Amino acid sequence: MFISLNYLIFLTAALVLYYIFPYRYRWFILLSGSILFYLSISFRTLPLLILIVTVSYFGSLLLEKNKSRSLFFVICVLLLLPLLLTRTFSRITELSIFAPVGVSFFTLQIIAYLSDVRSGKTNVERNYLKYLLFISFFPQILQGPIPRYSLMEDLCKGHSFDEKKIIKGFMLITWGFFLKLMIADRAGIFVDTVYADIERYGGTYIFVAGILYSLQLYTDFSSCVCIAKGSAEMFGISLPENFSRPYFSGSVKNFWRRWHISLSLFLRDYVYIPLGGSRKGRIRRYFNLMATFFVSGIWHGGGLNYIFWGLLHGVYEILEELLKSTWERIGIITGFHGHRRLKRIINIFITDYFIMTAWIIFRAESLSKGLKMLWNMLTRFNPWILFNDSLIMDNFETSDWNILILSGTVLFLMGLLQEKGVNIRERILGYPALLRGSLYMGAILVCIVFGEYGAGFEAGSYIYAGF
Amino acid sequence: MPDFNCIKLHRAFFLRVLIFILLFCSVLAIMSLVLIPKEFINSGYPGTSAILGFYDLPEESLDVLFLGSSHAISGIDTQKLYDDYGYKSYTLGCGEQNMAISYFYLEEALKTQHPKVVALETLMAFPFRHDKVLYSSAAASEKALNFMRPGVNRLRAVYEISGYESELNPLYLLLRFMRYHERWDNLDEKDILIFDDYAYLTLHGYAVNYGNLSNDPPGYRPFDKNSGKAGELSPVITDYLLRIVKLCRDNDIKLILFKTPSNKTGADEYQTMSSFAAENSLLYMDFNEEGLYEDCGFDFTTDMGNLGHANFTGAEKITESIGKTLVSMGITAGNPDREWDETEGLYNICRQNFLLSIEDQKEEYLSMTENSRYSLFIVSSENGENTVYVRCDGKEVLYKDGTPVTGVLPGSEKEYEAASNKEGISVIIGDEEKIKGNSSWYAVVYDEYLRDVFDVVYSDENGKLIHM
Repeated sequence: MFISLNYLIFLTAALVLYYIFPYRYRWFILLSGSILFYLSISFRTLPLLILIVTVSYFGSLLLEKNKSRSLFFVICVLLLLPLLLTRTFSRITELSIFAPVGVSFFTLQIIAYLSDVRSGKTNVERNYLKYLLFISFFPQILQGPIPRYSLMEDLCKGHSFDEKKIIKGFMLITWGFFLKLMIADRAGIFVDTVYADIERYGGTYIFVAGILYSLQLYTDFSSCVCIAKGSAEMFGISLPENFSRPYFSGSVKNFWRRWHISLSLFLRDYVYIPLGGSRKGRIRRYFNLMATFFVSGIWHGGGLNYIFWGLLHGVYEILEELLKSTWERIGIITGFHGHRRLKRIINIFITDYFIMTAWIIFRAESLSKGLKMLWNMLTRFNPWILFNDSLIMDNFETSDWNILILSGTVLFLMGLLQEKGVNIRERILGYPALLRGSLYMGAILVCIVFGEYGAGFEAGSYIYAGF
Repeated sequence: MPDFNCIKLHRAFFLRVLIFILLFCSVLAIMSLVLIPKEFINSGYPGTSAILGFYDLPEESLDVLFLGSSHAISGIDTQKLYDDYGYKSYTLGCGEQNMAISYFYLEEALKTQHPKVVALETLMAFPFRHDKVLYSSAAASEKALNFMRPGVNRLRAVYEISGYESELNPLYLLLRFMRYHERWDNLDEKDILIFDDYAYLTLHGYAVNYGNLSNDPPGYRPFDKNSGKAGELSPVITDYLLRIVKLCRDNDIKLILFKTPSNKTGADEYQTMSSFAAENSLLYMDFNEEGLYEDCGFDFTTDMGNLGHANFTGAEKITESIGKTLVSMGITAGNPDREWDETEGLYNICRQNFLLSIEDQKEEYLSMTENSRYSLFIVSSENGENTVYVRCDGKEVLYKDGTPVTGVLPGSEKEYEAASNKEGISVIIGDEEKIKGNSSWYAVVYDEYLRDVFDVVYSDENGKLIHM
């Protein structure tokens, strides 16, 4: 996985080989690297990945030639669908299903590609090895972002060495390590402790765990995306954005434009719009919305808690729209309507609160446990634990809180700057070399010393790798 | 074909990257030294960090090199060997030093030294921890490797030893900051003192054991040299022993095998090791064998700190015997060296401390502590009086109403607090509560020279001192 010394060594070797080989062979270095990477993380499932890619490759060729494209496309999707449902099936049957790593991500990628071939938006790729690279490109195969076919040209181009891109990629990777080691895995300790004993930790404990889980999930997933994007950038390749500071959203609708963007776009383009989108009246639109979120819930694992979480987001969006005018009126009556900044802050807090409550269910082992936790959080009154030493646990000490709060503050300030349109990496690039070098070294040393990791610099696995 | 034009075109960039990596590695190396636990530094038992002191020895200065476990560390009085025989020796030992560590330490030692004799203590040639291939714990190997200088020898040691010990992660052993990064929260002055010579102030690898078994005499008996039955050494141990033999032969060094008195090995081990020694034409001295034991005048009750380790007087006796043997072998001592002359002072301090540690009469004990380098804390609760007495940094304070006394220890940032009141009696040095209880009389002795609490005693119902 990305957060390991092995990955950094692998990436360095791949970069060296990429840039010392002539341009026309560079895509082949990427392909070899991707296969090697996949072999190293899932030796047993590589043949399955190759099989899926091969089947979909011939599928795309046939799809291009076949006259009844829609029917053929449906057949292809039906063939791929079981792959998306492996986790759901595994959960229901409690069987260990033999599925390739990253299957949920690259299956969506294949479906999107086939759909674009069917609709004629894109040409079919005839070079099998290049198609294999498109699906298996190592920075994105584990957890996305789910790319579109436009990536193909970027992958096969053979980019020239660009110092600026190398440094920018390096910065993004360092930031990814920071998010994972300083925030995600540390917050996870507290979250796991509370979730492991919900009888003991109720009320405000669950509220705090909910906040920390929101932070953990975001930084965990975002870390992986940063490292993926940073790695790709070092090869001169641009991967799509997957996050845009989601917890700065003033509405749930806006949240989904900022959270897991590549999945949201996929669901919009290949589920919501084909169902009719917002073109067929309000009731149908609400139905389409609920259906889309239902699919999202299924994609995340198919457990009832995931489906409930997805549907809850659908309900949030619908209620948000229905209550929009009421909320505006409340704003006018109370007077905060005129204060744009205050209004935005209140909207952000309310949005984040509801998203957090949905995450509590998402994280729970089952829907019943999730609902029980929510009920417990709302009915058990113990806010004093915020002011005494109750939040300090055997495995989560004061130093952990200090690191988490400090790192969270850094994350918040970075987000705030980005919200104001500041391109932080470009700004750092403008600093004198000595200052930049010190910043990089300081950041890495902070992660090494204060980070939460175990044997051989291996951090905990990524949460989204399980979806 | 690969084209390296890219590197030529971006020379300045790659140079900057190289400088960054070098600086980064330097910072990491310093950080690693700070983060590694310093369990044995300054504690009066400098066992595992002995290799740090070894690196500071003048080149080609050693006459005799001792290798082995804690039994060798506490059993060989390197100062006596110098004072009485002129041999400049060093015990490059560590806790549970397995044969692989002994071998790689020897390789490391031969980079800068060419001793006339290498003496290997053989405790770890036999099962000490039965579930381990090398018979020692993973932690012991890890600690032994922690302070070895980076280089090919260390890499080989890490590679080979982690091959036998699944608990050891080779990456951890090489990149030590990863192993110990969580210690940032527990760093203290010992961790910074690593850059100070004082930190590994040792008597050339000799760590005095201050105990004795007078209070609980063991039923130990040395064995007859004709008793026991020779067994087989394990193939791995044999391999390392043979490598040590070969290394010594290749470097024209005489190799001696020895075993200090202890209850850990017996007649069977003696016979096994004697066979190995005979096969390889080596001298083997087992001080558990009746003849040698009697010859050196050893008394297990008064000369052992515990059942495995000789104390100060025990080490004197073992060393005397080894010194005589070296003379009989025709080993000549090299020229005197300031390095060994300068440790005479520390040696005398250790001797004084040893005498203090075996004293069981209160009056005698207190008079022996009248030395400016000792800070004395006495707390008592007798006859309705809660007494606190502190003698520290040339000042004396005595309260009979239980008023707590606080202050800072001389030569240290450590604070102390001595109290005797209704809650009981306690002495806290730094963050450690050295005593807490309800017994009538306690004393804590802090040695400014060793920068550590040296002794804690209480008096029993008969007024006799019991050392804790």
